[in-house]
Amino acid sequence: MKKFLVFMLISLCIILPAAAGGSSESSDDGLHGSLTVATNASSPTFEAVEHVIELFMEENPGVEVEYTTYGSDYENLMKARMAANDLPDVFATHGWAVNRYAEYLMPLNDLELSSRIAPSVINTVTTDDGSIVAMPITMEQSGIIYNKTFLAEAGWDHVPRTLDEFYQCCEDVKALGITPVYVTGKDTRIQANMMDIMAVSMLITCNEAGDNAEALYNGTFDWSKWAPVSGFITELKDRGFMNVDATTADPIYTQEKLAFGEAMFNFNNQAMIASAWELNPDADLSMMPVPAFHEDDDQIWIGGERECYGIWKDSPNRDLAIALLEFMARPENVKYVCDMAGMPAGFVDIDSEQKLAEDYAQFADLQIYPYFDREWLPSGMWATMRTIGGALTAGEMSIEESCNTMKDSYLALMAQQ
Amino acid sequence: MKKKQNLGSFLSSDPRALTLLTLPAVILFISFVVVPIISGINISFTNWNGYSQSYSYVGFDNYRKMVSDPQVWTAFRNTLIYGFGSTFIQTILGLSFAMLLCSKFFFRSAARTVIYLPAMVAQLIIGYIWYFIVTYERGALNDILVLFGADKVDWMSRGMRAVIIITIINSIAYCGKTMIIFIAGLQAIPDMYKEAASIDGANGWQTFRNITIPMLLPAFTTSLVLNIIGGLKMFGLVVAMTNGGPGYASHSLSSLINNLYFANQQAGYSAAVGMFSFAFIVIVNVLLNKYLQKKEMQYNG
Amino acid sequence: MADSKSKLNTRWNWLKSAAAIVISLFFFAPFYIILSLSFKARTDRTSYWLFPKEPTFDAYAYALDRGDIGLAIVNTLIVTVFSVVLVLIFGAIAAYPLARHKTRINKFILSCFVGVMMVPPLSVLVPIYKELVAIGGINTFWGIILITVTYNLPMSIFMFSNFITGIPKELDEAALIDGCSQFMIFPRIILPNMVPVISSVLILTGVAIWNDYSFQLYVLQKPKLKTITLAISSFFTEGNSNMPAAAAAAVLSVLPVAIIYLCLQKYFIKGTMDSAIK
Repeated sequence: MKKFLVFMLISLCIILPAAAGGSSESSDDGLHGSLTVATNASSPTFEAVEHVIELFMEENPGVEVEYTTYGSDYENLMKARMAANDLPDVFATHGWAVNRYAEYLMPLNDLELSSRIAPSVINTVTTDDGSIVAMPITMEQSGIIYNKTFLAEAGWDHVPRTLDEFYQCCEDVKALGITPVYVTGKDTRIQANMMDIMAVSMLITCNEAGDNAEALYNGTFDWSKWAPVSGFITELKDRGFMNVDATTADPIYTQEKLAFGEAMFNFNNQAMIASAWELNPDADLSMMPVPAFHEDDDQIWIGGERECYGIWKDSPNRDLAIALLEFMARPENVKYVCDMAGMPAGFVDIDSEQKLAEDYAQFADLQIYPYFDREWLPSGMWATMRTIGGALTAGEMSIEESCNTMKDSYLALMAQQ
Repeated sequence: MKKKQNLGSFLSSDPRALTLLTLPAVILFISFVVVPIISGINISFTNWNGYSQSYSYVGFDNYRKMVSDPQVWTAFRNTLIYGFGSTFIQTILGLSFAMLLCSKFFFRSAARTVIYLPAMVAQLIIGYIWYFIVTYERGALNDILVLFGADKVDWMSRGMRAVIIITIINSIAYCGKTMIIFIAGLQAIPDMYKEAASIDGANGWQTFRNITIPMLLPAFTTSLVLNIIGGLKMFGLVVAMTNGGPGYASHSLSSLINNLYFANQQAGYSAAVGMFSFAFIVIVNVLLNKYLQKKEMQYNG
Repeated sequence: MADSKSKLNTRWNWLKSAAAIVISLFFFAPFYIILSLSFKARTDRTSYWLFPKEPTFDAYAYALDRGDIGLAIVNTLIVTVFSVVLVLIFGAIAAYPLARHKTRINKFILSCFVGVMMVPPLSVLVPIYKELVAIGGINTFWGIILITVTYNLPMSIFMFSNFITGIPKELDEAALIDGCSQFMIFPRIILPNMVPVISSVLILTGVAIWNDYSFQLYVLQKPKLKTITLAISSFFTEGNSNMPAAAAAAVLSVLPVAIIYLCLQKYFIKGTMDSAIK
């Protein structure tokens, strides 16, 4: 029934403006109007998508698309715009298609493109009732960025497999006089991201995880189990594995630090590697999977949709938005963005060239899991993770206090739902 | 008919009618100050997350939470340091520069211009410029240290040190205004007084202590009020220099409110902290005005 | 005796000049650093103190093109000009009765306005934001202008009423006897006398509004409406880590104010002094 309604609505949207177009003075029957498209992407992904949108405007001279990135202000602004119920026609869902934006997004099930979305990522853009609410152009397969040259110099022939190996590797790299883990804590997103990744390995996928996942869903989780996740931050800090200015460095420095080989590890996604290559194409960077918590656990990838767009369901320009999405989903355009961004495609049968393809191939049998807060926490915990991450790095909070803070915030947000 | 006449005469001759001229200002004041304060009090009793369409009332929970929240107390303490610390340093710097740049000599006007220049620049931009100076990685200050063979220092890494550095930067950037106010004050002192003092055999310090300072009192009062308000409202500088970090150690109340509302999805709590900071600043100013009025009366009488 | 004293004075003056030069260098250093950085190439990682050997305008080109600094300057001008004009008009007409007739209600109104000067705008961020959403003022120039005017009015009312108090009351009375209606006294008698203080208020509020940041971030979310402070802060986001461009944007935003300041210095200084008269 619902699908039928959606279908009717979509067809109405296509028919109505077409009829209106017929009665207008303009003689050609191309698309007309303007669209706003918003994202948080940075270069080179942003430039790549921008290029595709320019092609779209060339093909449809009557359409004006305003494509912009809000960078790190994006989340705040989208929240404000949700509060005002006034969203861009098309917007990036940055991993929150289902948990935060679903009620504002138009289902795409009836579009041809939805049948081509890669199976490994389709769940992250599908709601419980089966609506596909966003279209992932690229997908993310992240772990930890590392510098291959330094790994070899430190005497390692493989990337650290377990957490203990990871610490050992940090020790070896530190002995070479290189910063093991580069943290830009002026913006506490980085620490939150580190915990977000490690929490999956430590609480969900390890053998001793038990029914943690279930407990997190139904609100009975024992938050003292969070200690190793906070402990990861304090361990790196206490053993001197972070850069000296871990609490004060601005993320503006990450790119050059990686590009000019001054740091071994960094917790970011592939987009950061591509940015670093912009500054120095020879930077010997790659991506390794998240280390296993214990010896007998598996390494994992963290990922899901990356550059992913949905259509605001109340958009006055839905037909244009659909046309744009269909255009962006054309294989040659998807391939272009993936090649530029250096990321795998969110669609099947896209043969993109990736510098890192070989490195990824080594770990082809590892599983991809979503980010911890996107799947197992209520919306809003990201902020709490930023707060404790910052405080832990600065030594303002003990591990126990951080567990309690997580617990309080979790219970409050669960109660709100 | 009679009523109309009354209205007419009221408008044309009763001075009270002139109060109508304040109407545009009063309307703006009510819509964007009074109404928000009332609705802010209302929001502060809810658990609104800042974007969803629904929320519920939680009574005094937000205020209770505030009392035991170290973030709020740290921000409160920092706000005091930002406000009063900047006032103290700015007054000393402003007065020294004013004394130096009062009489005529080569380069005097140029120096005045340069000292006043940063006061023209947005706090946020001042903050970003200084970020490049005090940052660890290739920071301009650390480059000087390295030049002299010392080790680099991560200046903003300790909470208290960051707060003090921000206070100093704020003072340096805006002491130009204080300086101008004092120059005006100094120029208003009749030369006669100083001459009389030197005839009486007073030395430089005595003249300064007994003539200059009391005569500058009105200038002190204004620069004090302006600087305290400015310091207490501190926002852009904190955002640009440390973003409230390390951890939450250098937040001012304003930057914390901003952070709680948008980054932390705690709009209700944020509004409660906002109401607290509002009440606090009003109290500080009322007390300050009372005190200064009394002080001025003493000197004048 | 007189000779040695003037010699001493000359020496004193040289000492003072030296001190003034040192202080000026110190105050100019931050501006020098941002200038030197803005002319560097992205891959130039030499000290900020070293001016690049081969200065490049790449950063400026990037700031103007990607960062849309040009558009941001235009937007900021729009907000500033409209706000300043409204602040001047509303402030001046409100200040007249408040300064001339100290009735109880007028005193109350004045103290309320002066009270607003102390409100940290961010303490009412949440409710103002909600209110603007309700009246559709988000992403509009009029939304930000109304807020800006409200929070800059008190200063102008304060300065105007101080000034009007200093204009002899006899002028008003003479005009009334000549048959001038009381509403015409302000434009005919008071306004022409207010020119010096208007220039001061114009400069002070103009600079304050040009540099404002607190509300713009939330009211002006569309990139086409971005103002200068917003444009600069957007350079400090992850991935977009082009430091020379951020520096160039900062230089571009400071430049207009700095030039106006250098040309009209004496009015700026007078304005600051006017604001101080109690």
